Amino acid sequence: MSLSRRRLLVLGTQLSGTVVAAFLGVPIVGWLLWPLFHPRQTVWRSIGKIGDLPVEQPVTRRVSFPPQPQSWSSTQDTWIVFLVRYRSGEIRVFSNVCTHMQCPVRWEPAIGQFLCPCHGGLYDIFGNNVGGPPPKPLPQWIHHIGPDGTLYLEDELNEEMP
Amino acid sequence: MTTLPRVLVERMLPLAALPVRRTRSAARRAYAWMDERSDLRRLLRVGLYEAVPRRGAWAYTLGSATLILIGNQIVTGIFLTMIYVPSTTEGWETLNWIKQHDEFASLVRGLHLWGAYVLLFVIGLHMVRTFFSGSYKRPRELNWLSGVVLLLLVLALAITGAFLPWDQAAYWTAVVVTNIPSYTPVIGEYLRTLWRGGDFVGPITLVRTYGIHIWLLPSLLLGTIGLHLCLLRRNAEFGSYVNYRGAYRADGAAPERSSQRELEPPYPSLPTDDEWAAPLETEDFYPSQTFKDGLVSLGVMTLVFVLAVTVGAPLEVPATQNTTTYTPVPQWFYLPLDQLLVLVPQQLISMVLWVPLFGVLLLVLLPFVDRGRERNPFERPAVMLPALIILVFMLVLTAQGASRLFNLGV
Repeated sequence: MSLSRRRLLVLGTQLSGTVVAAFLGVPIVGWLLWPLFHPRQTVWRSIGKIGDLPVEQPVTRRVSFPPQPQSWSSTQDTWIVFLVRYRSGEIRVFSNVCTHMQCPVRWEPAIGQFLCPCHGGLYDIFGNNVGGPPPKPLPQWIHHIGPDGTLYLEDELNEEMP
Repeated sequence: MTTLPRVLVERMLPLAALPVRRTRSAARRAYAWMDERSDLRRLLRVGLYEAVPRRGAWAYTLGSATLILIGNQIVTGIFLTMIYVPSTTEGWETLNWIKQHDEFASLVRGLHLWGAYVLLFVIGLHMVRTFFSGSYKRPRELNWLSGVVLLLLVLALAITGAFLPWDQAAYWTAVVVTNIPSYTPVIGEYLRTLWRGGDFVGPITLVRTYGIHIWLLPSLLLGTIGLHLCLLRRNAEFGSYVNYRGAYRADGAAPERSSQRELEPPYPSLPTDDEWAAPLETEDFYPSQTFKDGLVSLGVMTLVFVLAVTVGAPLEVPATQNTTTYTPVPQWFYLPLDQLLVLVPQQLISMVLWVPLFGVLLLVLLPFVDRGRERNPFERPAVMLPALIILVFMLVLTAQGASRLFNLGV
């Protein structure tokens, strides 16, 4: 098979273009995909002694976690959490992130439910999604209570956000 | 001039004429020098003396008003990059500082915000006008498609711009909007993670969105505007029903053209068949059309300026996730979609993704579905009625959303 001069020139042009595109494409695409292959390291944070929590009456606390991976930022991410103690003695630590569109939910004492103000999602005291559009229960922070009653939170929710 | 006393005219004229004539000749020499090297004369002739339709010319001012408003966004946006820092700790501070201490910079920010809002409105009117007059028909399908791309780019610019002030409104817009791609099948979560630069909205989200807002989308926008304008010159404005009225007869006889100027090649397309027919009456783009364009653009820019001065750009308290009282409110142009989120049951949340995509699909398919020769909106019920229903549906959703937010006491 013979390669004509013209064909060679065409192939050369295309090859140069492809290589230059790869020079630019590999670093940029690699950088874009970086967070997918570097899951963040989870950490535990103490938010102090629980003390006497009222029964089935959410109490808000704040917790600060280190920033996300691949971040130069030194600012801590501060989250608000709801602590609930049930009659059974069980304690749950709810996130305020609605499972619908991630708006901040609030406790409405009048109806005894968590309400999301964005689209009217409702969760009962156990975090079950009982009204409106949320597709999943309210996420809970993974927690651990030390022997002295100190509450530790991991910066990890008990379920994937939808 | 004729009312001035003759003697005054005779004394003034030589005085006025002398220096003017000298500068004129210098200007002419400069013009000739430029022309010899750049073909400036031809460029100006092609640019300014296109034959444009006399009828419906006011309707064509919406495109130029859109262009002027985009120019406003670019000029004010470039200025804003000199005062704003895309940082979760300092971004809000920079805007708060100009709000407290720098009235002119605040005014520029107001022009950018209200320019964006008016632009969304005017680009919508421009699209509705194009739709009504059937201007997407052969040979203007690509004009329409590039216009759809421009609309999507402007919407993307509007929503990414809303992230940047990093006040509460911006933060919660960022949270909800970056969450929408997560409803894409299979790769949804990856898309959300890529945009956010992590699981949650944070510093990386802001800097990425900033880059998208000030470089990526505007580059695409400018390129697509170039394409849109090239196609406009290639296919001309000659797409409207009003221009065609009486342009061809039922018996197929050649139409009578009363005051049509001789057309300069290669613009516009010569009327090889009645579908491509040039309008009955034309006039020069400059200054007949530019006067109308200028007047309408002046009107919309006056509106933007007045809103920037009187209302200005709001800045809420700094962004924080940690709130149990803040009620996120969507941007007004996003209200129909937000109301849809309230209405659809939990099994259909992904409609937030599919409904807009379906709308885009309809826009893309329009010129390939409605291919008939008829351009009169009243003779095209098959496309006009569904479009009206969709429009009314969007308006009802907007009204419902607005009333819901008012009831929340926002």
